[in-house]
Amino acid sequence: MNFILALLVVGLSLLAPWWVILIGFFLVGIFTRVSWKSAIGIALCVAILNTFIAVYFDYQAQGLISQRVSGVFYAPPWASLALPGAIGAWMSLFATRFGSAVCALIRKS
Amino acid sequence: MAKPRKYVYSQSRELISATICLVVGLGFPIALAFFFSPSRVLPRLFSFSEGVWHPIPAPPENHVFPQIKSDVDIAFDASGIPHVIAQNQTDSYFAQGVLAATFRLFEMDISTRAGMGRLSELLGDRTASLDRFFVTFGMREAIEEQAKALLTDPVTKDMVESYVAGVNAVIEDLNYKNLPLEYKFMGTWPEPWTASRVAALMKVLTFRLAGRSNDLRLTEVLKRLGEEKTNQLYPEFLPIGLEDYFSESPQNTSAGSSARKRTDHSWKLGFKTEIKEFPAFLQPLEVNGSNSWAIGPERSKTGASILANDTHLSIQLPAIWFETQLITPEMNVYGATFPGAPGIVLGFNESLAWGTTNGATDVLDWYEVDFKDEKSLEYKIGDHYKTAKTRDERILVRGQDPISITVLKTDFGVVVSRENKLGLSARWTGFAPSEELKVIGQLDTAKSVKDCVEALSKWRAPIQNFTCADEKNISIYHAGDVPLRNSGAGRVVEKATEANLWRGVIPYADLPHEINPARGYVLSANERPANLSYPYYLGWDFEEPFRAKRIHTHLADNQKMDGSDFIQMQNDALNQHALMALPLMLRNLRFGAFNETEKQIFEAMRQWDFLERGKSMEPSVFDRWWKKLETLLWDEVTFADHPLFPKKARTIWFFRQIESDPDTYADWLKPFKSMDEVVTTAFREALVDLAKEFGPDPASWTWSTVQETQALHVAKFPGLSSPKIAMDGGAHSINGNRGHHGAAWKLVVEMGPHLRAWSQFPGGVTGNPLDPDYEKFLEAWSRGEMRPVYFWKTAGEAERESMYVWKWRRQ
Repeated sequence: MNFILALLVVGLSLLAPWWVILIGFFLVGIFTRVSWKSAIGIALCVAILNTFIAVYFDYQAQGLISQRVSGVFYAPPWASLALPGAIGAWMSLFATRFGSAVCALIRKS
Repeated sequence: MAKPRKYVYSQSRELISATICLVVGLGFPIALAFFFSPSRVLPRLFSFSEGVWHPIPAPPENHVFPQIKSDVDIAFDASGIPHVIAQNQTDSYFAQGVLAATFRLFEMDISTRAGMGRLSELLGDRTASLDRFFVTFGMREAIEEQAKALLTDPVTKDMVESYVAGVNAVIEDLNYKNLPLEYKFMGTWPEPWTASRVAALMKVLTFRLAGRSNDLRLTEVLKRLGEEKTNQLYPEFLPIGLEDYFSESPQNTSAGSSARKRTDHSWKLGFKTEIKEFPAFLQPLEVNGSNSWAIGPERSKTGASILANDTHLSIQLPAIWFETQLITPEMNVYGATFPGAPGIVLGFNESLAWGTTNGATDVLDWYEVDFKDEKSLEYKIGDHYKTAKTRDERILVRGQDPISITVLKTDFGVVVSRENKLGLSARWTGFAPSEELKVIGQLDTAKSVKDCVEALSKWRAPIQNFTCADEKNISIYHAGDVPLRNSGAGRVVEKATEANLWRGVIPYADLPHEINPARGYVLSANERPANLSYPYYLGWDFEEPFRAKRIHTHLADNQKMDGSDFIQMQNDALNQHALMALPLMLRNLRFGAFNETEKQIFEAMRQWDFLERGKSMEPSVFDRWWKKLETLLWDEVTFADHPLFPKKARTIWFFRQIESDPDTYADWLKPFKSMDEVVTTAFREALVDLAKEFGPDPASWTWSTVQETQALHVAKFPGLSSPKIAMDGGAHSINGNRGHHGAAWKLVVEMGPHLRAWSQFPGGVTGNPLDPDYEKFLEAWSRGEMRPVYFWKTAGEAERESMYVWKWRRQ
């Protein structure tokens, strides 16, 4: 269930900016009340899915995205491919867990 | 008891979780953004929905532009070059604006900001000194005046307003997804385009081409060496048998008879300024060379004139030039333009082809101005004081405090620095508003060489050698404003006196030129255009005459030529400087004590054919050997950060003198005792340096390794430049390659009823670094390959032969 929700949010990321995704993860957290362990699992799924998407787009662009964009920040080419995964995982981890905590606090109170 | 405890524990656990999530989840990115500014733009930059993952934005393919009067088609040829097909000129300039902004918006922004002193707003303090220079130099006021002039003349008003509207149509349509990549990196947005931006482009180009001055360096040399030695090392003429002047200088024309006769060409270096230090930002610009030549029908295999031009400017990405064709009922012109301004700057139409080389004439003078006291605005002119005009300027610097500057303007130009009671001012022909855009418009529709010569009479700046060719005629004209000065003035910092004020400009008819010369060809490679009998002072710091000599040799040796011969000539990598200097250097080598490697290299140099091939070692050895030789020989003029070596041609002259009369010139060799000692020491030290830098094996000292050629990104963003390119050519071969500087656009046109043309530039049409076409022509350019030009004569032909067409409608 968690994975499906994460998949949906990652799918949404193709259409929406990050702040929408952030809210998406927060809502996932609210509705699923995940533990830290599950949140880490979701974050890992997001990281992997986002990296796949990034690699696919970069492949479509003949590798220019990783090469050029990383070059601007003096980083190796894989850095720009890893970044969407890292950003997504970070957001999913803290947003879902924050959503879960808020949900728990509301319910308990 | 246990339950409530569990409940309490659980609540606090969730509270801690929520706090951790807030603090770490938000706090870390905020802290990161605080300490590492690029991280502010990273999330949006890497967003799948709008970030870098969709690298090629949708083009304005079938677009509605209410601004156009009639439908406009943009036909793309097999090379991807856009051809504008419009029903009137206004729409063609609008379309040019749309195309420029679609493909090169960031480049346009950066290059115009440079002149306005507004780079640091985007790029931070790394460009602050450049901004400071342009603002102090008075460029903002010059740009404002130029913009007013552009909008006053009805012809240029139409050109500029249409073009600006085209650029703004694209800017208004921008969203983050199709924003040029560089803006995404910086987290900024382009401003609306204005006539001031067009004016800024004109002024910044004028400065790049005609703002170069070594007068301040020469002033330092004069202070150090005195008048006699300075005269010896930096003469106005370089008599080494390379000169090839335009034949119709005024000494040969009726106009010349009324001109002031100048008999004394010696230097008048009597005045020595008391200003001790010149501002560090006033270092001269890099030399901008170019080649252009044309042959008349009698020398052409096709029976009609042929013209070649290659402009030597920055090799950059996006390319400095934008190639296009404008087809309207009144005009059909193909060529290159600078993104940011309308019209075709260089190129050809059905009747006329034209090209340019930089004039390199001295149009910038420096003065020592006497102020009443250290802070006073009153400066001395004649026997009275006059108040300087002031203008307060602010330079915004990203992430830093703004810089405030008060620009002072006197009759002797803009004061760029002050030292006690003295001010250093710069007077430059480029400050005045000018009509280049109008001239460009006239050239675009000119029908003959006569029209070309007539149009150029209004050209003010930057001073250029214009080569023109119609089917039967050829011409070359050194066009632009050259100040009339007091005899002998203009070479070093002069005293600000009434006698030293400019007295107008050299009349157009008196400027050096040639129209259909008897030899059947005209040429220019930035060399001095007029000989000793020319009655006006033009300058002392022209480009070395080597490339011109080589072009002259080709043209004189070949009775009949065609376009393919011209393309071969453009790729000629023979170093004319080496051809003249190396025999002298080899002759003076003491090779008695050479080791094996030195002997091998000596032998290789002896057999070198003077071709600067990318894979050869010999050009590298010659280059380093010469540089070392200059450093040893001219240690008197080796200042800490900016040596002013005499011209290479002058050094060759010196070699010859010392060979024939060593005693007279022995003084110059100190601390060395003889020429062969200097030459041998330079040779050995050059080899040691090469081994240190590139490894002990001479095979690794290839020319393309030692002189790295690379197209750098226009804002020097790392990662957006090209890889290093292996290519032939050097500063003194026709294939002029100085690493980051070279043939930025090449053109060969065979005029006549069967008009054919070839062109090339290092880069692509698009300036989008994520587009595979960003470097499209770079490799072919580096190999010297030219593209056949698709010059479509009618709109129908363009529609038929194009690869695809964008159709823009009014509604």
